[in-house]
Amino acid sequence: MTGLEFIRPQTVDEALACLRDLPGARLVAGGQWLVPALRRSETKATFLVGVDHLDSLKAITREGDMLVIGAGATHADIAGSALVREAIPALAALAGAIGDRQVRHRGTIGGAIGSHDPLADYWGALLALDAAIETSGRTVSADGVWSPGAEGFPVPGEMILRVRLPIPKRAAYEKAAHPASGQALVGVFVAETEKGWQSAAVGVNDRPVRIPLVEVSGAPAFAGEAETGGGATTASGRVLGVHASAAYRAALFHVLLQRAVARLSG
Amino acid sequence: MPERLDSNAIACTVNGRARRLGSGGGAFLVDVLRDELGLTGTNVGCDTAQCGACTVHLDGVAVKACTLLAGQVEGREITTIEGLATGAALHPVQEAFRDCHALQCGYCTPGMVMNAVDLLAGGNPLSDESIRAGLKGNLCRCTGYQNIVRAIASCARPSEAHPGLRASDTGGRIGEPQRRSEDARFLTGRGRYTANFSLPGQAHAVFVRSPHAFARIIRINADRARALPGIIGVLTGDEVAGDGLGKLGCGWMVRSKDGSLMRGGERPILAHGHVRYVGEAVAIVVGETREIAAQAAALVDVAYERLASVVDPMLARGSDALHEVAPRNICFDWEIGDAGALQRALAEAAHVTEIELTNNRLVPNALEPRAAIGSHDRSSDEYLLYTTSQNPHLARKVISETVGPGDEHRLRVISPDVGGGFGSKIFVYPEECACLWASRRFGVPVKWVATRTESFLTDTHGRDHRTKARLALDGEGQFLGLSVQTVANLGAYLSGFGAFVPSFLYGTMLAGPYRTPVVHCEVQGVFTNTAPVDAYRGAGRPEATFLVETIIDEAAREMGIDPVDLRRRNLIRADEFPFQTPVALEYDVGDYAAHLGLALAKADHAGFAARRAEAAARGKLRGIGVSCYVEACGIGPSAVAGILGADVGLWESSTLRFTPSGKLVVLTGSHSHGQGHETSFAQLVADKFGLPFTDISIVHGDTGIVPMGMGTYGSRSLVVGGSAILKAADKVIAKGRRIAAHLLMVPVEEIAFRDGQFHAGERNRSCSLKEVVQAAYKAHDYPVDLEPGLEETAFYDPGNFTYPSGTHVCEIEIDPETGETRIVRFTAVDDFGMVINPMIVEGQVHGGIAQGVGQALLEEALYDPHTGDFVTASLRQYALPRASDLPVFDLGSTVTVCTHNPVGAKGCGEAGAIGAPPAVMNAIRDAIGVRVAMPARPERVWKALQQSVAE
Repeated sequence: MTGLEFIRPQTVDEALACLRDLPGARLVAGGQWLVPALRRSETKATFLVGVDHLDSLKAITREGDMLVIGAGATHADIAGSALVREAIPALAALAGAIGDRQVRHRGTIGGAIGSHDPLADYWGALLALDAAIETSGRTVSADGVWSPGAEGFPVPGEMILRVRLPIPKRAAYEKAAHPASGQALVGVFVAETEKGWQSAAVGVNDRPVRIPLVEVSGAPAFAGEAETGGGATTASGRVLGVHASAAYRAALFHVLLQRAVARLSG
Repeated sequence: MPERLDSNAIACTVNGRARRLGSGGGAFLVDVLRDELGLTGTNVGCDTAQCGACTVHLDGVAVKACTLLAGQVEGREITTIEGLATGAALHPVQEAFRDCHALQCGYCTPGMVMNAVDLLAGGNPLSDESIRAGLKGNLCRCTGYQNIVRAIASCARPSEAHPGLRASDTGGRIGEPQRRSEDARFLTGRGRYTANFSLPGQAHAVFVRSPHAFARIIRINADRARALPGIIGVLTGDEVAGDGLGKLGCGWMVRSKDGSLMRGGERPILAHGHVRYVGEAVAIVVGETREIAAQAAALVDVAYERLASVVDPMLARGSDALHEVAPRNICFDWEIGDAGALQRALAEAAHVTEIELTNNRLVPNALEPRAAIGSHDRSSDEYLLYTTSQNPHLARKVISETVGPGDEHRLRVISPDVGGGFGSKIFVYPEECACLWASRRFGVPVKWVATRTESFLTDTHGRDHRTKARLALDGEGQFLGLSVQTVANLGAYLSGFGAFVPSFLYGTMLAGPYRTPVVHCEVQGVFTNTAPVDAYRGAGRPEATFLVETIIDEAAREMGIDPVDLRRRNLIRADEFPFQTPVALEYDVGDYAAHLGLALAKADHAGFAARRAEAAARGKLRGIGVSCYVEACGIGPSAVAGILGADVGLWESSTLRFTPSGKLVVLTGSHSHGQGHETSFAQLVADKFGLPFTDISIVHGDTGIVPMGMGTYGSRSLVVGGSAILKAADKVIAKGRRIAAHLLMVPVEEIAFRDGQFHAGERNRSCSLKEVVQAAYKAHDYPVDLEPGLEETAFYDPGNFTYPSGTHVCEIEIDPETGETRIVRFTAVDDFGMVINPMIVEGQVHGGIAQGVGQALLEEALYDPHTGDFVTASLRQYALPRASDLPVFDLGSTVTVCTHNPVGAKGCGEAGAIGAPPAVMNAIRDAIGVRVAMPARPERVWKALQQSVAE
């Protein structure tokens, strides 16, 4: 009836074969972005390759000082995982504040970053922590995904498998959300890592950006206007502008950064 | 090889039964549940996965069925609302919802219950705050969430007291929180909403809609669409014209200052010649399935010549006319009050306060989208229309005039359960006419269900005023006069009440609850390239109240008088009623100082300074705002409506029909779309006749059964519809006395009816109502000059409007760093006269306040000033209040009984939406020292704070 054919591969390799062999095939995991878009005819597909049942994509493990999260882990899985809560509690809290609980029960980290949404909260954590994203064909840094001139992510036929996050000493995430969509207007992630203070933000520019920090009397502080304040012209920029001008986003950024830092020290 | 999940390949368990789904893996689960499995308890309220009405359990976990594909449920277990409880018993959460009055129209209820059950499954003792956070994915437009949170909390923390009225089942006498008769079907997914009906052989309609705000239609080519297999036909404005269909007009004729009639704005069934707003229907495509109709609709090729559009009513007055007959886009230029006297008041004034403000444009957003199934039987020439109307009899009149002139008697309109309306479903819309007409053309029933996007684009909107006002005061702060100039955006066409709302329903309320001796108000109604604007909860009175309560606060601050004190000096005193205002109305009764006093006490107004200091210590700006209102409900009498230009009378009718076994069927022309008429009307007659509550059946919403009616809007159901019921009851009792006199062999003058018995004077003899009913139907031993049977119809035409009033007090805290406003306390004390079911009344007030808070803080329908696109036309952009946006509302009441209707009631449906916005905005003004526009989005407040710091 919908003109969509649903394929249910049994392994990741089968899923990749479908993406390769079937024209117009798209992966669907939690479907929280894709299915409503299909319903509104805002996006098209011929074949939908369902992967939400593949348990191999859902694993959350700790490998030394790395937290490894399967692309198929849902936001609720991540928020509720004892491993995540112990290793990076800020990430568990971040995942637990995405959307609403029905969305968190279905939506996955792979879907959130794979839909290339510059406002996805996860980008704050991934950039600030120098996370690596493992796909079917490569390992790419979060930075690499968003660096100017980077090729598309994921490229056609590519499948995100897992995310590897170096575990910080401590971290915090603060966001201000759009009152209707619940999406971040601005989100700021701050972490103390082996390499020092690191931070990244969504919503302050047309892509997620790293935030330069300096240490002032033992606490991190904003180092300058390097990457922010350029105005937010996102994919849905004009609409977002209703709820947040560039100046307001810049102000929110400073407030949220301070609050994240305060949460760290607290 | 990977499995391809085609037809009949998907095995899953649904509500405990193993099923094979025939729809294919690429079907949307919500459609499979509703259309293939007939599980229509899973409702669809939006198209962006924002509303949660379709929440079901997947392996025991709450998910939104609109975000799942059928293929994803292979091997999994689905539970829908229909499968939650086993047997006749309700699930404990369903019971809690019923007992706490956590549902009204019932449309969000299945999804809300399913999410709540999962939320509670965590087992933690959930706090109210975490319950509100857990409901973020579910929208309710009726309840204001308070009773939903209470119901869930009572399950989460059963040992605690959860203050608030609990439904009882003790016989349904007046004044008791009788458990609602409607709730069982809504709670179990058996709501009878229009979209849940199917007629044999029905086809499905999809509308081709204008992508442009203003354009000339050059040509329409539907050949490719018509050629698509499964397409039954495509109709355009040419066919509308060819068939001689009428246009939809406004039911109220407003005259301008110069005596001329309002001009322009008649609305075509399908656009012809021009399109005048984004979303206007251009063609109806009818196909065997909705999907095929949608595919074909995309193939209809419409060539447009774009014209310069205008969405701002101020600019529209200097723009090209939308309608040739309305130069400068002015439909009417209306006034009320004494302009000369007002000039004298201004000249004499010791102080004049002047303000400009905008009353923001809103989309009512009833959670159930509009829907219709039109059916015409060629053999009998009879029409049947299922439609989501608040007003089925008026729909019958208007639609028959438009689609089938002379056929009113052959058209049956059924408005079954309607999932909220808030005004937007009063009026007749083009789509329902088109479905009925298409059915006549094509010989099959035609069904259409709006998407949420269509609802945003084409439902009537509310408010949208630009106003300048001056308040003249003497040195003591006595109001001398109020001058108001308003430009009201009417949209592209006049909807049913379009001209009436911003004129008579607005200008006449500008005296408010005050003794203001002179009011002069001018309103220009202006066409723009936007969706039609019409009645939305409050309709004119919120606009008037917001203006009056804002200018009073400004005047108080300018004159250095406490805002509450300034109100006290000017409120109409209890001994001044009946009170004739300078703008036509005569308030019958009230005690405004009483509700102001009680509200201030409940809100601990006196203790505010300490709370403000405590908040300041935490870095928060705390403010308090007060608003007093009086409004006008239950429009009538009909003679006055006629003078004001109404096309119809504004009575209500009811038929009371006793069955031979002594049960009572009440037919009412009022229409319930969440208000609980089946309960409160039954209480009214249970009390009147001394009948068991369960012996009474309330029937509404079907012109084939209910003789006549004027529907539900303007808080008129109980005051006008309830009065008609009581009037019919008096006729029944009058006839019953004659029968009883015969049975008891005494003169009829000696018979008195009380406590369910006909008593024979002092003779200590009586007979029961049941005996009288039996005698009436047997007619064996019966008065010779009396007709058998016991059934009476009455029409009640009100003697005046009713005038509910109240005081709302809002306390807010603002985070100065982000501009975010949080309501920390909200007190409402209202005078609704006699209350039949206090639980239902509280629910109405909660819902009204929630919508008022939505207007003040969140909601704004925005059109692009350059393109005329509707920018916030989805629930992803248009922010409706969610549970976590709202506080607990503290309600109180004072009572002065309405003097002119037999119920003594005044109406309660709109009060919250009228009283709340100025209370919230005055609180923000109090906190930050400047006024901001509604909605007070964080950025607006933040900007205002930045500016005041800079200054």
